[in-house]
Amino acid sequence: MEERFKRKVSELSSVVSFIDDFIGRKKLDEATALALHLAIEEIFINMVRHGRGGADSISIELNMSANGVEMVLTDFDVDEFDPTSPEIDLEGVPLNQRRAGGMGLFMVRQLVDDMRYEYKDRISRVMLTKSLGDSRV
Amino acid sequence: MFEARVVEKGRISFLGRLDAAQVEKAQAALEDIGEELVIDFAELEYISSAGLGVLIALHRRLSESETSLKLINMKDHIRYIFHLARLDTFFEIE
Repeated sequence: MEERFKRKVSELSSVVSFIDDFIGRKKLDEATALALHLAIEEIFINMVRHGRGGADSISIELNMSANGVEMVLTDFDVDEFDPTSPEIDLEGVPLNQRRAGGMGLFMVRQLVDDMRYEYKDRISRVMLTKSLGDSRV
Repeated sequence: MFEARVVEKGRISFLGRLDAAQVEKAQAALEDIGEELVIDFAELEYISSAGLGVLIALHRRLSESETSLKLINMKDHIRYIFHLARLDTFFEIE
Protein backbone atom coordinates (compact mmCIF):
# COMPACT_ATOMS: atom_id res chain seq x y z
CA MET A 1 0.00 0.00 0.00
CA GLU A 2 1.18 3.49 -0.82
CA GLU A 3 0.14 6.96 0.28
CA ARG A 4 1.44 10.48 -0.09
CA PHE A 5 1.82 12.85 2.86
CA LYS A 6 2.34 16.59 3.01
CA ARG A 7 5.85 17.78 3.76
CA LYS A 8 4.96 18.86 7.29
CA VAL A 9 5.90 17.61 10.75
CA SER A 10 2.22 17.91 11.70
CA GLU A 11 1.43 15.29 9.04
CA LEU A 12 2.96 12.68 11.33
CA SER A 13 -0.42 11.75 12.84
CA SER A 14 -1.64 10.71 9.38
CA VAL A 15 1.57 8.74 8.84
CA VAL A 16 1.00 6.96 12.17
CA SER A 17 -2.57 6.00 11.13
CA PHE A 18 -1.27 4.68 7.81
CA ILE A 19 1.36 2.52 9.59
CA ASP A 20 -1.18 1.26 12.14
CA ASP A 21 -3.56 0.32 9.34
CA PHE A 22 -0.82 -1.74 7.65
CA ILE A 23 0.20 -3.37 10.96
CA GLY A 24 -3.43 -4.32 11.65
CA ARG A 25 -4.03 -5.74 8.16
CA LYS A 26 -0.85 -7.82 8.24
CA LYS A 27 -1.21 -8.78 11.92
CA LEU A 28 2.39 -7.82 12.69
CA ASP A 29 3.85 -8.38 16.16
CA GLU A 30 4.74 -5.59 18.61
CA ALA A 31 8.48 -5.66 17.91
CA THR A 32 7.93 -5.29 14.17
CA ALA A 33 5.32 -2.58 14.79
CA LEU A 34 7.76 -0.58 16.92
CA ALA A 35 10.48 -0.92 14.27
CA LEU A 36 8.12 0.33 11.55
CA HIS A 37 6.94 3.31 13.59
CA LEU A 38 10.43 4.41 14.57
CA ALA A 39 12.10 3.79 11.21
CA ILE A 40 9.39 5.54 9.20
CA GLU A 41 9.10 8.51 11.55
CA GLU A 42 12.86 9.08 11.58
CA ILE A 43 13.22 8.92 7.78
CA PHE A 44 10.02 10.90 7.11
CA ILE A 45 11.05 13.72 9.49
CA ASN A 46 14.52 13.66 7.99
CA MET A 47 13.01 14.19 4.54
CA VAL A 48 10.68 16.95 5.78
CA ARG A 49 13.62 18.84 7.30
CA HIS A 50 16.29 18.26 4.64
CA GLY A 51 14.07 18.48 1.57
CA ARG A 52 12.69 21.96 2.06
CA GLY A 53 11.88 23.52 -1.29
CA GLY A 54 11.06 20.12 -2.76
CA ALA A 55 7.67 18.81 -3.89
CA ASP A 56 4.69 19.23 -1.55
CA SER A 57 4.42 15.57 -0.68
CA ILE A 58 6.46 12.55 0.38
CA SER A 59 5.43 9.03 -0.59
CA ILE A 60 5.45 6.11 1.83
CA GLU A 61 5.02 2.59 0.53
CA LEU A 62 4.64 -0.52 2.70
CA ASN A 63 4.62 -4.05 1.35
CA MET A 64 5.23 -7.58 2.51
CA SER A 65 7.88 -9.62 0.71
CA ALA A 66 9.67 -12.91 1.25
CA ASN A 67 12.24 -10.91 3.25
CA GLY A 68 9.71 -9.31 5.60
CA VAL A 69 8.31 -5.77 5.50
CA GLU A 70 9.57 -3.48 2.75
CA MET A 71 9.37 0.27 3.46
CA VAL A 72 10.05 2.77 0.69
CA LEU A 73 10.02 6.52 1.35
CA THR A 74 10.32 8.74 -1.71
CA ASP A 75 11.02 12.48 -1.74
CA PHE A 76 10.52 14.36 -5.02
CA ASP A 77 12.40 17.29 -6.56
CA VAL A 78 15.00 17.53 -3.80
CA ASP A 79 18.78 17.76 -3.49
CA GLU A 80 20.64 14.59 -2.64
CA PHE A 81 20.70 13.65 1.05
CA ASP A 82 21.94 10.16 1.80
CA PRO A 83 20.90 9.05 5.31
CA THR A 84 23.02 5.90 4.99
CA SER A 85 26.23 7.90 4.84
CA PRO A 86 28.29 8.54 6.86
CA GLU A 87 27.66 5.78 9.37
CA ILE A 88 27.25 7.13 12.88
CA ASP A 89 28.24 5.37 16.08
CA LEU A 90 26.87 6.91 19.28
CA GLU A 91 28.47 4.40 21.63
CA GLY A 92 29.85 6.53 24.48
CA VAL A 93 29.10 9.85 22.74
CA PRO A 94 28.27 12.39 25.48
CA LEU A 95 24.87 14.08 25.64
CA ASN A 96 26.19 17.51 24.67
CA GLN A 97 27.27 16.10 21.30
CA ARG A 98 23.93 14.46 20.44
CA ARG A 99 21.64 15.66 17.64
CA ALA A 100 18.12 14.24 17.23
CA GLY A 101 18.60 13.59 13.49
CA GLY A 102 21.85 11.67 13.85
CA MET A 103 20.49 9.75 16.83
CA GLY A 104 17.36 8.77 14.87
CA LEU A 105 19.35 7.39 11.94
CA PHE A 106 21.61 5.52 14.35
CA MET A 107 18.49 3.84 15.81
CA VAL A 108 17.03 3.07 12.39
CA ARG A 109 20.19 1.21 11.36
CA GLN A 110 19.83 -1.08 14.36
CA LEU A 111 16.10 -1.64 13.85
CA VAL A 112 16.10 -2.70 10.20
CA ASP A 113 17.90 -5.50 8.42
CA ASP A 114 18.66 -3.55 5.28
CA MET A 115 18.80 0.16 4.46
CA ARG A 116 19.53 1.44 0.97
CA TYR A 117 19.50 4.85 -0.70
CA GLU A 118 18.93 5.82 -4.31
CA TYR A 119 19.07 9.27 -5.95
CA LYS A 120 18.13 9.89 -9.56
CA ASP A 121 16.48 12.77 -11.46
CA ARG A 122 16.14 14.75 -8.20
CA ILE A 123 14.16 11.90 -6.63
CA SER A 124 15.48 10.69 -3.30
CA ARG A 125 14.44 7.20 -2.19
CA VAL A 126 15.17 5.33 1.05
CA MET A 127 14.42 1.60 1.05
CA LEU A 128 14.26 -0.32 4.31
CA THR A 129 13.66 -4.00 5.01
CA LYS A 130 12.54 -5.36 8.36
CA SER A 131 12.54 -9.13 8.65
CA LEU A 132 9.82 -10.80 10.72
CA GLY A 133 10.39 -12.75 13.89
CA ASP A 134 12.80 -10.35 15.58
CA SER A 135 11.59 -10.45 19.18
CA ARG A 136 13.94 -7.80 20.60
CA VAL A 137 12.17 -5.13 22.67
CA MET B 1 -1.33 12.40 21.24
CA PHE B 2 1.01 13.32 24.04
CA GLU B 3 0.29 14.75 27.46
CA ALA B 4 2.59 15.80 30.31
CA ARG B 5 0.56 15.79 33.52
CA VAL B 6 1.88 17.36 36.73
CA VAL B 7 1.17 14.83 39.49
CA GLU B 8 2.71 16.86 42.30
CA LYS B 9 5.64 19.23 42.75
CA GLY B 10 8.71 17.57 41.25
CA ARG B 11 6.78 14.77 39.60
CA ILE B 12 5.36 14.65 36.07
CA SER B 13 3.67 11.82 34.17
CA PHE B 14 4.17 11.37 30.44
CA LEU B 15 1.23 9.87 28.57
CA GLY B 16 0.78 8.74 24.99
CA ARG B 17 3.13 9.27 22.14
CA LEU B 18 6.12 11.63 22.24
CA ASP B 19 7.07 11.99 18.57
CA ALA B 20 8.37 14.85 16.44
CA ALA B 21 4.89 16.41 16.20
CA GLN B 22 4.57 16.58 20.00
CA VAL B 23 7.96 18.05 20.85
CA GLU B 24 6.72 21.61 21.42
CA LYS B 25 4.10 20.38 23.88
CA ALA B 26 6.75 18.47 25.85
CA GLN B 27 9.16 21.41 25.79
CA ALA B 28 6.44 23.74 27.08
CA ALA B 29 5.66 21.37 29.96
CA LEU B 30 9.31 21.17 31.01
CA GLU B 31 10.61 24.68 30.36
CA ASP B 32 10.01 26.06 33.86
CA ILE B 33 11.36 23.02 35.69
CA GLY B 34 14.40 23.92 37.76
CA GLU B 35 14.13 21.63 40.75
CA GLU B 36 14.62 17.88 41.19
CA LEU B 37 12.30 16.03 38.87
CA VAL B 38 10.84 12.54 38.55
CA ILE B 39 9.17 11.68 35.24
CA ASP B 40 6.77 8.75 35.33
CA PHE B 41 6.83 6.84 32.04
CA ALA B 42 4.17 4.27 32.99
CA GLU B 43 1.69 5.55 30.42
CA LEU B 44 4.13 6.60 27.71
CA GLU B 45 3.60 4.32 24.71
CA TYR B 46 6.17 5.63 22.24
CA ILE B 47 9.16 7.96 21.98
CA SER B 48 11.29 8.82 18.95
CA SER B 49 14.62 10.64 18.65
CA ALA B 50 12.76 13.97 18.69
CA GLY B 51 11.28 13.12 22.11
CA LEU B 52 14.63 11.86 23.35
CA GLY B 53 16.09 15.19 22.28
CA VAL B 54 13.71 17.01 24.64
CA LEU B 55 14.88 14.82 27.52
CA ILE B 56 18.55 15.31 26.62
CA ALA B 57 18.06 19.09 26.69
CA LEU B 58 16.34 18.85 30.08
CA HIS B 59 19.06 16.56 31.44
CA ARG B 60 21.77 19.00 30.31
CA ARG B 61 19.98 21.98 31.85
CA LEU B 62 19.37 20.28 35.20
CA SER B 63 22.90 18.85 35.29
CA GLU B 64 24.34 22.37 35.09
CA SER B 65 22.79 23.09 38.48
CA GLU B 66 23.50 19.55 39.76
CA THR B 67 19.76 18.90 39.96
CA SER B 68 18.64 15.31 39.68
CA LEU B 69 16.37 13.89 37.00
CA LYS B 70 14.91 10.41 37.42
CA LEU B 71 12.88 8.43 34.87
CA ILE B 72 10.63 5.77 36.39
CA ASN B 73 8.19 3.00 35.42
CA MET B 74 9.44 2.67 31.88
CA LYS B 75 7.85 -0.04 29.74
CA ASP B 76 10.32 -2.54 28.28
CA HIS B 77 9.99 -1.26 24.71
CA ILE B 78 10.62 2.34 25.83
CA ARG B 79 13.71 1.21 27.71
CA TYR B 80 14.78 -0.59 24.54
CA ILE B 81 14.51 2.71 22.60
CA PHE B 82 16.77 4.37 25.21
CA HIS B 83 19.20 1.51 24.70
CA LEU B 84 19.06 1.87 20.90
CA ALA B 85 20.04 5.53 21.31
CA ARG B 86 22.75 4.57 23.83
CA LEU B 87 21.08 6.82 26.40
CA ASP B 88 20.36 4.20 29.06
CA THR B 89 23.74 4.82 30.71
CA PHE B 90 23.34 8.61 30.85
CA PHE B 91 19.91 8.77 32.48
CA GLU B 92 18.93 7.56 35.93
CA ILE B 93 16.25 5.01 35.07
CA GLU B 94 14.33 3.06 37.70
